[in-house]
Amino acid sequence: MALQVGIVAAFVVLALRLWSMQVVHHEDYVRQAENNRERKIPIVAPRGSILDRHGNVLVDSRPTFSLMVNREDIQDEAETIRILAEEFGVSPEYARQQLRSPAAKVRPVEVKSNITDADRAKVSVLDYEHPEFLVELRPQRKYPHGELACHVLGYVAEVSEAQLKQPEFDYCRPGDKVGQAGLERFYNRLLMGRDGYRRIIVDSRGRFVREIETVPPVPGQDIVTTLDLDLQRVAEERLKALKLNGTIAVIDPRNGEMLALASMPGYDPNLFAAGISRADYARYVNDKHKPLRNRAIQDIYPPGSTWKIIMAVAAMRAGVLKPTDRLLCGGGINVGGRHVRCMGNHGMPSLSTAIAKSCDGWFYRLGIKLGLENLRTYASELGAGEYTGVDLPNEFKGYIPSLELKAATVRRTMPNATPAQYRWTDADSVYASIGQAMVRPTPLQMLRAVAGIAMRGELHTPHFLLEARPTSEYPRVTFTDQVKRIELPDECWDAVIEGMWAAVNAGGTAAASAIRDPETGFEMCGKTGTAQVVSKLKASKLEERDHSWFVGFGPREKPEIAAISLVEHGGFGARVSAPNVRAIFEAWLRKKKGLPVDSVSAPPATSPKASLPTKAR
Amino acid sequence: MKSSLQESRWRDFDWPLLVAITLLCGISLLVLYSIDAAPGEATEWHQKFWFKQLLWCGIGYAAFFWVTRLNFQRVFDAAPYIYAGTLLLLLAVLFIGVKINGQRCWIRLGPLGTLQPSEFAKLGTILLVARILRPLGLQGLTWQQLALVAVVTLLPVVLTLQQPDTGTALTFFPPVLVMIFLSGIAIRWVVGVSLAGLILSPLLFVFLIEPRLKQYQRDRINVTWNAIFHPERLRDRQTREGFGYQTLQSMIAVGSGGILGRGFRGGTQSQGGFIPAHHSDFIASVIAEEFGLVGSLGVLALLLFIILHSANVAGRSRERFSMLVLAGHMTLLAFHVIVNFGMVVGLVPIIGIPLPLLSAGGSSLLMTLVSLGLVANVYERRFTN
Repeated sequence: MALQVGIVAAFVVLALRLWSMQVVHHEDYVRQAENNRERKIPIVAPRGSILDRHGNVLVDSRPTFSLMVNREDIQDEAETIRILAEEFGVSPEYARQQLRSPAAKVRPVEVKSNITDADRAKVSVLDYEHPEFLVELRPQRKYPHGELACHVLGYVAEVSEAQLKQPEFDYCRPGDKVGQAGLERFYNRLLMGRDGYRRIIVDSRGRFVREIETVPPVPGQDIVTTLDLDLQRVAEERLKALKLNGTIAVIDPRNGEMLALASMPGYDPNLFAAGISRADYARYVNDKHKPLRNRAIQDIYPPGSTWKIIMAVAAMRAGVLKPTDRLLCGGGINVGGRHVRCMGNHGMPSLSTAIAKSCDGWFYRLGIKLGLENLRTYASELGAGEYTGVDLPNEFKGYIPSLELKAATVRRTMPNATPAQYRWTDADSVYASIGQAMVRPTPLQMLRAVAGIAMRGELHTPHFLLEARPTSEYPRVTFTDQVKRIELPDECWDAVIEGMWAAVNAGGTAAASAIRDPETGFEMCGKTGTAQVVSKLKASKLEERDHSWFVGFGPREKPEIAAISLVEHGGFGARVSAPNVRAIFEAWLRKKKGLPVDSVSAPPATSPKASLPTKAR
Repeated sequence: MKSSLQESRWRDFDWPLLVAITLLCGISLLVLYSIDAAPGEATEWHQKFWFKQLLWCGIGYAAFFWVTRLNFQRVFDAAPYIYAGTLLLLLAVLFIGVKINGQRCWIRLGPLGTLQPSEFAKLGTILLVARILRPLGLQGLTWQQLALVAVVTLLPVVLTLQQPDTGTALTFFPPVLVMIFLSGIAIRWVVGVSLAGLILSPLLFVFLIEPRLKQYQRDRINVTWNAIFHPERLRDRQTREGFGYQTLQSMIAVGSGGILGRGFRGGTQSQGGFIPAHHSDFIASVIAEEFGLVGSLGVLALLLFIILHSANVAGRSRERFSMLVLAGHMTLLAFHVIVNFGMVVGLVPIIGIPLPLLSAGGSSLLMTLVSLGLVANVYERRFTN
């Protein structure tokens, strides 16, 4: 009897267990059963194209097939990795790395992009035994012009684990390809669209049984940029011909639209689109010329004499300078027990002449009159050491002189400095007045300031977005330009602009680069800069040569274009950078007249004729 | 009592048992037919599980009816030869058996599939042990009897362990122990051994068994522990895709069945082939998924009826040998059902023993039907002798 009782008791336990599983926790098990057999296969949304202002394609996507592996369906990882290596030529290290990535937990991961028809056939042959291999149609980013405008356009790559934790990419999922630099990153949300998916039923081996539904992807928006492909080409070719690092940026001063931005050296965004190899990436990152850096916004330089324009406007804003004031050049100044030279002796020049001749002595004395506080207030007002607000990621702020900066410098260079040495001195004012010492804006900040001055105090936000074209799902998006006004009497603007006009057109420092265009009467105004890298008069090595600067705009009245050229270690501003800006303006003029702009490959500092287009396309 | 012998035979026949057996065999065929639609199973109709099972049902029923007519004295006489025959088969399988999943448990048998000698050895052992235990002196069992029983039991156990098939080897012990206890062992012995077992078994497990377990056995015990006390732990990736896979998939099948089940061929777990061995050892998960709580409790009720009925018949038997055989068989049946169902619902570690009358597999079906034939045999004679 005891035995029967024991057996019945055991059956009661089984019945209770069945009741607990099938009645109490039923819903939970149903959910698990559903998860077991349902697979959601993402359909990647086509990324929006990027166009120049005239509709030329700068970036688009083309359909490619990728080999994917679904980790859930792997029976034997070693076997899968072996097949990947032997049949598809995927390195075991890369396969392992992809299979262990966080993305692999939630969706199939890409192990090979751009696969051939033969590869696709192999996948279908392997399907029964190895359902973990999938072929996915994945639009791949294509940059038809290669390195052209790479720093503006940026590149795409899979979103990293760290990025997913940041608010910038909180809407992304592991495995998504997102913009990692440039416009691709800044406007990633507009470009990316929304992935669709297929929900399918699979069996225990992950083999397809039937489809439940397909939700098509929503394509991203096409972006029309403010770039002008022709001007961009000219800018890049000018820099390339110099075989030096540097940047050229072109802006429409009336509205802040960026017509071109070149930074040398560049990189090929196509390499990233296909999944960049470690070796290629390491080469870019470790290159001492830093090709991934956008020099116009991610590098800071002493602006040299181009800074004098900002000094002049700042001093008039501070009320320490009237447009009619004449200051002494004196061939230099004695300050802090040393004599700091001017390049010549200009007597008692006016503001315009001081700018045109780039008289250092004049600006030394202005710098002392202005003082640190006024310099900080009014130079920041013109955007020096401030973010320009450009629609590109990771813009540098740069800096202008301050007591903290001085203290930091003293602490670094003179460990045993007395308190007196921490004080701001006239010598500091003198060096700062000509854009040396602690003055470090980005080239784009300089361009924005000069464009604003050309517009007589109207500063726009530089930007590349003309519009994101509307689709059925998304509305049109444009850039909201923040306009900043700096009030000064007309005579003040006249005097500065007169100086910049004379620098080019009336025997000033950039006289060799004057444009004479009788048809339109276009005249270039500008200011050269030759920024010392080391305090040595005669530099022998390339790294010790001065940076060559030129900022310019035109026409003199009602300006329509402004540009900056910075060539690292390029030497005199007038000899290298001024011709660059001139070439840009000439190309722009030709376009304006409806003439074709041929690719101009002008060697540096040649005669003006060589930089003119020779033949129609 | 009616006049004709023939008439009385059919009137006294064990109809309730036959009905229960037939219902269970029918359910088995229905379920096997249901999962034959699943991908990855054999495609030719004559290779399908339901068809093979149907053939074995035919053989099993014939054996069942033949056994009901046997004179039990002849069974008693034949017991040593049956035992010797099954032992020979067990020995043979080690040399000529086919290897499946690293185990050599089966002998190939043409269109009928395979033969599993260990199933027959269980019956052979029960018969011989019952024969040894039948003579009962005034002092109860002698040491010689016990020693002989130990040898007779351990021989097939050792051979089965060679295959290796630990689960089946374990099933030899409960019937033999029950038969010994039913042989008038003094009550102080029963209590003493039970108490000693209660105290010693944890120690035995920790110091003797546990260190000798293979890693997969340890993992299975671990999974069962989690299935009972921490079901959520089964879902972490390593367990879900590793050693916990079968238990978890089986539990999902059972749980998702609900009260009425997902219907014939409606179980996603069974039809998707998510549960390994869902035709054999895990057929209960398919029943639970497709026919729900109602179906699984119905099957359990039928099985319980057969077990209690066997116990009942054993108790009414007027002869020690048949009583011991039936008791042994009843214990074996109960052990199989409880452990197999326990495996399916995650209460018992997976040890790979079939669900009698339901799991696909001819040897188990034939052995069970022959044993039940003995039950019907004794039932029929309940008024005679």
